[in-house]
Amino acid sequence: MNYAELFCQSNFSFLEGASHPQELVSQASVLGYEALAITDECSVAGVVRAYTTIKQEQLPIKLIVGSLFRLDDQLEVVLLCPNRQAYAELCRVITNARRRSEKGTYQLAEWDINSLRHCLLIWLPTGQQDADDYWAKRLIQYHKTRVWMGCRRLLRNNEHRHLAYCEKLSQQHRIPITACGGVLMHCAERLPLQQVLTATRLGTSVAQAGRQLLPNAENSLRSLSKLHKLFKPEWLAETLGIADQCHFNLAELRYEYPAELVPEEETPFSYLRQLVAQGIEKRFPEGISPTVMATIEKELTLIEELGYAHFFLTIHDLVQFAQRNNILYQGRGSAANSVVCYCLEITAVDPRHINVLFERFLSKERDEPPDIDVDFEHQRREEVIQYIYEKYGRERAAIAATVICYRFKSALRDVGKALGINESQLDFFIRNINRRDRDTSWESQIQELGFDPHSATGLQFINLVNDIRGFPRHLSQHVGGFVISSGPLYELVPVENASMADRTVIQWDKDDIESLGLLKVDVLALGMLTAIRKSFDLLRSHYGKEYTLAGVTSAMDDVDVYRMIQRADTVGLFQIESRAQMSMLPRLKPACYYDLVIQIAIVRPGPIQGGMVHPYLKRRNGEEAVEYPSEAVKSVLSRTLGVPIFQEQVIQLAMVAAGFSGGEADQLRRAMAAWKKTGELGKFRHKLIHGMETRGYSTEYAQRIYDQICGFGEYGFPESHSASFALLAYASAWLKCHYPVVYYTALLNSLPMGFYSPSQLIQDARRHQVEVRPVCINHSHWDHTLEPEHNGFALRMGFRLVKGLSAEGADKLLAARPNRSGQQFCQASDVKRLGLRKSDLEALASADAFHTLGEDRYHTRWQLMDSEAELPLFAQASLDFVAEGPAPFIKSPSEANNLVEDYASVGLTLNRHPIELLEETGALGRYTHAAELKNLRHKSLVAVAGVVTGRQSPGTAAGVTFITLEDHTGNSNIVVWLATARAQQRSYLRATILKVHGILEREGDVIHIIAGRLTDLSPELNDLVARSRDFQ
Amino acid sequence: MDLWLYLHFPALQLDSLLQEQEARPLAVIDSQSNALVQINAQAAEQGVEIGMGLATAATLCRDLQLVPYKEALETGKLQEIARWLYELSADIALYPPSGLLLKVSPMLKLYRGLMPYWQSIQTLLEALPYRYHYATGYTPVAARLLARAGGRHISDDAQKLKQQYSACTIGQTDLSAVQIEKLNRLGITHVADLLNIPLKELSRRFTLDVVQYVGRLSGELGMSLEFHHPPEDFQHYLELLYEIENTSVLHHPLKRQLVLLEDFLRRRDQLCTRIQLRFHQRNGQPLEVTVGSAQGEYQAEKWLELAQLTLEKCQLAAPVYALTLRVNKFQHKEAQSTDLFAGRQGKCTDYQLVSLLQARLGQDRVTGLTRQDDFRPERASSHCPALTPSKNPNNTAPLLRPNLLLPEPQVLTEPVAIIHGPERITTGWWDHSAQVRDYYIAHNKAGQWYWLFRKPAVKGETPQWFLHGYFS
Repeated sequence: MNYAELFCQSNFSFLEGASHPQELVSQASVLGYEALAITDECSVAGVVRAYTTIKQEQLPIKLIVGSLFRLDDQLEVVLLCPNRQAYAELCRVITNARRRSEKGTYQLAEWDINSLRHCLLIWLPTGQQDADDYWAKRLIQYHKTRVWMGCRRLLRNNEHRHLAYCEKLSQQHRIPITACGGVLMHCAERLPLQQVLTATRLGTSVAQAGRQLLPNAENSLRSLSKLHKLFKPEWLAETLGIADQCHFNLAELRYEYPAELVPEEETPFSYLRQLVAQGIEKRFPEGISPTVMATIEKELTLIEELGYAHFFLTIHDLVQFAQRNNILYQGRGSAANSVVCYCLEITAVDPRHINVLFERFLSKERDEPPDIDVDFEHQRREEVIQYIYEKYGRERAAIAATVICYRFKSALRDVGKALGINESQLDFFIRNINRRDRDTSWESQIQELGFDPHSATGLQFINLVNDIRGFPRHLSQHVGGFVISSGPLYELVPVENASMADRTVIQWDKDDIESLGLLKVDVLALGMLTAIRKSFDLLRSHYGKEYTLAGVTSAMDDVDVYRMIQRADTVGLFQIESRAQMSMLPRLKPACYYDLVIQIAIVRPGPIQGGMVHPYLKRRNGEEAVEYPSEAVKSVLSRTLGVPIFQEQVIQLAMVAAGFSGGEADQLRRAMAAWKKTGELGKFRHKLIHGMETRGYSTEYAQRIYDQICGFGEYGFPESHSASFALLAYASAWLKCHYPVVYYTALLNSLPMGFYSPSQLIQDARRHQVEVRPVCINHSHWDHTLEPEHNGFALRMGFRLVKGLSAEGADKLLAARPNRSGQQFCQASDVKRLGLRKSDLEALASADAFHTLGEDRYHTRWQLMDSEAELPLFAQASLDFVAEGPAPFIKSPSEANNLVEDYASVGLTLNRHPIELLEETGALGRYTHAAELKNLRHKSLVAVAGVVTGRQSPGTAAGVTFITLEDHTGNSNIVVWLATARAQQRSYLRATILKVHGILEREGDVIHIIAGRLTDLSPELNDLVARSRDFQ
Repeated sequence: MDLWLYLHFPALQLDSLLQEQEARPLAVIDSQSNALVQINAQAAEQGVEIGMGLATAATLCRDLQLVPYKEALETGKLQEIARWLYELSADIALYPPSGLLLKVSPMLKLYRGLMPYWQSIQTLLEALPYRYHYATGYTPVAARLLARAGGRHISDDAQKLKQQYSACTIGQTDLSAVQIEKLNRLGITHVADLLNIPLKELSRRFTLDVVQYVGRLSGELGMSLEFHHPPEDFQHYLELLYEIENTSVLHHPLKRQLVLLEDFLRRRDQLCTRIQLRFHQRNGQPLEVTVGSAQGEYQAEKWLELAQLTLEKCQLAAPVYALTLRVNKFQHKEAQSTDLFAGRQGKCTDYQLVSLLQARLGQDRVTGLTRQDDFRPERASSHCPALTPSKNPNNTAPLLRPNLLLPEPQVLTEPVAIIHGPERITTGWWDHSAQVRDYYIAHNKAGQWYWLFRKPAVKGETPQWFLHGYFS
């Protein structure tokens, strides 16, 4: 006889279940079970994975959706869903229980159980007579034919007594008994892992946990023959009867878009068509070309066929809101780069620049839902989120979950603790294992660290760590993926609390949502949009010029802009400002928009590890022939000179060269995204290489493509995103090129974002002839502002940079400042009378905001600190005191003191750079200024000195550290090889001011210095400050 | 004004660790801030510095050995030092965890001058394993400031002393980090700058603690001190640098403690009849050993002999990382004889009885029994040091188990009828004595209830049955 397992928890019952849902359905199917219920505790987070596995592998097993609930040690019950109504009911119960409680926990109420009308109940008596009698009566009273008693045979101590008890209870209350497994593992071999998880949950070690652990592996999926020996035939038969009643299939879930977006007399599609028509008028005022019109028609047809009209309308509605409120945004993703989206003003990427992209719009064949992410100004994204909540209500809108899984470090730590390994030793391992070392596995590295992997504990440890990796640990909030539905969401999927107040997340992550064909809208935050919008605002207010993103980027052919980019003069720009990008720009020399698209995607770990960069550069410079093994491959790779650079190209290659079906290619895409987490990519290797070989490609070529895919891994960057980013990169470059003072002001007002500190940005601004004026009590505002100067504007530093100054304090000051009439604060005591907090006054004094009033910052601060003057009675006296002149026991700051104070109070100095000061004292010896490096020849010996502003060891370059040194003329880039770093660790690790002797290497305009000798000169600065004291 | 002497011990904990000859880089780390607070010379050689974070230090010096900082331990050491110094100087105030303040003025007559006084103090300090800084001052605060700044100044020249402490930075004072920052931001970086400012001006701008500090430094404001009173009993805790697994190796550290005890007793002209040794073991209960000497004893050599006799019979359950020597009953030397004839034999406590039995039968023969929370019957109970209370830490429900468990399972030789079972136990992989057994309850023909188990069948063989216990 067959069997249906009705009680089975996956590892989405966190720290309890010890198998993935995929493993459970596969194993149950191998064992020949008729059905398997995934019943995680107060959760359906794992069921979609089980469902997807059954669908993809076409397993002959029925999946039942259910959930386990516990109520105060008194009640344990499994709910199963026979139909759609029951499923909605289950989601409601889970939602209610979860929403009553903090993140990660739940609280069931008796009412939740009594109110069930559709779910089937399998009750698991606890063995406490009173509670069991109470609940037996209740359950029968409310649920009659929908309730069973579940009996497990787990070969535990005293089991015979419990079974006898249950049978008696069953007769007494006339509740039929069904067999069930209480499964936590798909196979018996998972017992140690399950015990480790239990120990972790209890916060102890397996040795200390004692009998709180499982005594045996019977909580696993067991063979039918074994079940037949253990259970009475009628109990087994009952499982099949229950399974028969369960018809609900997740495929039934139909996502319905909110209806309110479509006017009554319209259908979603007709309305979309209408909006597109309006958009065409606006976007193509000079008339639309037939080719573009044809593309639009093609896209619209596809949207209609696939039924995605609502999705576009939903996003259109969001960007309309943003437009109305002057919030800058930009869409990206495969569907975002369509002409339809351009017409709907979801994106500003003009199709005429990148018509090549449109081929990769929605694809029926690829079976992917449309992908549109919308970035909003980071400081104002919350407004958009609130709009969504307001418009659709909290019942209908929630954020998708992100499943946080065990990664290497957390796995090592938790398994180590469970095995009773000392925590400081675990810390030591974690600190010293280099996960980027691709040549030495962590297992061998841990051996080098003194761990014996061949000891019994060692082997267990390594196996358990490897097993637990990829196990889910908890649900977290996705960065911005909203699911919006027409009815209450909790009938579709349970909703639970997130750690952020007032945020709720659904129990499924983005892959689950995709698998079920639900659609999510990504509402993301992007700092650069804030900076660009602020630039536009300043251009409007100070220059009287009206710019828009689409306007600035409509032509994208400004030679000056590209010239600036080619020089790598890109500090502060979007995406192309990192050191790696800057060293690539002079080699790639982007000269058009599509070059920028490539530039952004190529300087990423994916292409770098996949070895795509050098072949591409060579081909671009004509040093290597551009060849294609076939026409099919040419069609995919021709725009990148035969080198796969974008994620889409890899997927397409798999399809055209290795014969992957659309569905398989989609699986490959997901496996790539999750490669580091699950290591699932290996199973595609055979199919890929074999597929290419049979299509006539050389094994070598096939292997290279596979290696590139592995290198890409989760870091492959999609062209569709790069296209949108390139647009913003261009816009930021255009602003910096034509209105540097505006751009820097806006950028500084949008921090924190990007790679550079205010100090670095302001130095760069000054190198671009921007006049920067210091913080001033009479002229500064909270933000940085533009002040007229003889032929343009100067940047006035704002109060936002002053450390320790509160926003309220600044507000009070600004409200009282008698600026308009030309009157100003004449004395520090004028400001003091405003009643600012003492800390605010002190912060302003130290920032030298009172410098125009004649006193130095030490004396001003001293004067403002006086508390007696705050009493009205003494006000006059204190004025007299001021009139007496400065306090004689307070000295005046030296130049070095001022430097220290500048950095301490605003994080930068407008006076002389520390290196300049030190140079004057002769402390630095002979060295070359950063600005003069360009005059030196390749391979010349050189010494540079500077403040250490960056220290990076990127994963893509094992063993190399890049150090950036800043002097008063600019930055120099130092490369420190591992051996050099090791030999001179003291200087290398700790220096804030460093002198480097090395060899200059030049490749075109890119200059690096390969470090030989490192000298830590940090103490020199302290000496300088101390010496300046002695001079007085 | 009175003259004061302040002693600062910058590395009490580190110095108190028993140093082996070939010392390795060693550091004491504050586990809250994760920064090093004390380091030895070997660590300093490799570039490790005080205040450095763990990560940086570990990179600079891969074999750096770390010990967590324990304030209580330092305070204990400080009290010990105070006890020694009490022999030489009357008024001693403790500044835990690492400073001592001695009132010098009243002692000057006795010692006929500052230098003789200091020499006797220094002689004592040199005999201890601790690094120290010292300074005199006309206020406690001044002496403390100079000593903590790393000073080595013994002087009664007020002018010279003031000059020296004026050169200290504000960062070296006891002011809070917030106040130090506030002063620095005014360009007030040295004590001299601070002393230049009239107290009245200071009080209008700074909180009371700053004003008080400056006033007490200069002597304008006074302060009250609590002086140390020596305790009545002897207690010494010694942390070992290396864990010791064998009692015979304990000889050296133990001797060190007993010499201290001898010194203590000699100064008081006392004896003791019982010493208590506590061995702190890595995982688990400390081992307590009491060593007695019926007639009373003070000499370290004698006590060491007695202790070693007792220790030979002791088995350490786990490596020892520290030991404590404690004595709380003393008698004067002449009082000894009265006790000897009091004739109170036969009266002893549980512990004395256990010590006695253990001394006679050997340590391992006298143990207690304790329950263990384990499914495996062999591990459900275990021997433990005598007189440790049994407990069930996890509060799990009792299992159905036979009253009598056989010490070794026996092969089943008679036919039985199985009544209940199986209870399957397949766990215990973590301590390498995993079991795979099915237990059954059965009775034999005579009606006796058995507890049986079966091991899984090895291929080709019939499974074997074992008798493991009796219910009746």
